[in-house]
Amino acid sequence: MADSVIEIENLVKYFDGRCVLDGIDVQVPRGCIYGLLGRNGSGKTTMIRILLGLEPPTRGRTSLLGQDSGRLSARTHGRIGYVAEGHHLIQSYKVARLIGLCKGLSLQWDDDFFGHLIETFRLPMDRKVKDLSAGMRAQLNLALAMAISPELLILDDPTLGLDTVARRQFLELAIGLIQQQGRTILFSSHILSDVERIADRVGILMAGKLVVDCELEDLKDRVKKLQVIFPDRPPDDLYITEIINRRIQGREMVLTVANWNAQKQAILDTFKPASCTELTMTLEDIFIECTRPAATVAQEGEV
Amino acid sequence: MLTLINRELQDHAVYLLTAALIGSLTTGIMIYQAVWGLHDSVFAFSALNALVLLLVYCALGVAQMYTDRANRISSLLATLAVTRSQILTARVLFGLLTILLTLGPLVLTAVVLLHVFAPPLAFYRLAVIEAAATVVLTAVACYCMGLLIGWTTHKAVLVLSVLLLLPLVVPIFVVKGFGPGAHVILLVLVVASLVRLWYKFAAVSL
Repeated sequence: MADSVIEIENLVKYFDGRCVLDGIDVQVPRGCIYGLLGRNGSGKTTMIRILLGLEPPTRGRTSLLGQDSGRLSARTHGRIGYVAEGHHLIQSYKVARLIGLCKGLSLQWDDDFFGHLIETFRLPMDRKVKDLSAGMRAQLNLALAMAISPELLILDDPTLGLDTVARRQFLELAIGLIQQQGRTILFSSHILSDVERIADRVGILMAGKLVVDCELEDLKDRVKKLQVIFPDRPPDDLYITEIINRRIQGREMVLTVANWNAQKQAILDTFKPASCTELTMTLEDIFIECTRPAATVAQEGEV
Repeated sequence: MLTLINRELQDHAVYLLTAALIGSLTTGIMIYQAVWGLHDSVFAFSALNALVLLLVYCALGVAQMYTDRANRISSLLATLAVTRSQILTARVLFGLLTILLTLGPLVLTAVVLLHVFAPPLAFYRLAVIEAAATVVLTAVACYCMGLLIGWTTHKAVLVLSVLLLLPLVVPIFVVKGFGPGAHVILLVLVVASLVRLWYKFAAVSL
């Protein structure tokens, strides 16, 4: 892809002999909000840290804004805003000093926007970072990342520790930021409703593999959950490709299938079901189905 | 770069002040020795000061790297508009600046005093230059090895390494004297420490 802001090619990472990322390929185009989903320990943070050059990869190539992650120049770093999981700011610094340091080490600093954020979040400037609550640290981290007017914003579970109001405020800000031309956001989160609200493309990591990588609407279209009721007990020999999950209870069978099409419908019809109803699926439902241990997966290339 | 050096200064000012205090004290003692005559007890105190000064430089290096690792400072800095090389360069520059500011006046005083009080022989001039170079190189070596030692999260390893450092460095000029032999060994120590540190810092997970 010619205008990819984030490029990952065959990324592999091992920690102490354990494979954390296994052949990841991702391309995020300019202006896209990419929601990265995955359960704890699925490799989201590791992937982000490798992208930023904080962690060396075992194999593969990653680049941000056209530069290899391992050799990001200061100028490129200055175009990237990053909110780390856990918000590891310098704990022993006072808020004002940390802000001064980040401002001094930035290429550009939007004083008005930053002042607005500080006012919105009501952050005390004279307190040490370690004395702030988790929510306040998250807010400070967000404000610091957004003050540099980043071309690319990487948010690693940024709403972790925020209350409902602050989370909503953050999402509004993120949406405002993306509406400015050319902004790209990589957004990893456990709160799927947040991702569903702002992302236009999603990736789901499971046990180090990227099991889903497609447009959010496309994902919702392609993954179907069907409630099929048979006259007698459901057949044992119902074989349809790309079944993500299958649950049987009495005469009822609930099927979650990827890439549902007329051909699959025809196969199902040969078993003469009494009824077949499509159930509505949220991103959370899809995420849960896709990350079940024995799940069959839906890759964009398999369409 | 100036912001990074300023950050190092604010975080590690206590080491700069301690080294300046010990350096000033030792300079005073040297002037006292030169003007009012040598006393064994004063000489011993002066030598002890010099050893403490070396320990302070080593402690500065250790503190710079240990606090970085413990508080994940570079992990944050490396996501701002700076590179790892710039972070490390600023750190080393601050260390060298500390050595220069605290040891420089001491060495300069020694040179002036020897020029004033020692017999005007070429031997003395050479000895002064060699001794001054040895002292500065020893200080730099202690600092650089402190940087290398400090990049650990094991406190026991840290303390043990610092305690072993002086018995390793001091015998170099006890055995080899203040001549070129000692300079070469100290230079090798400095370069090896810096190269190893650079390699570690460039490749390590932050």
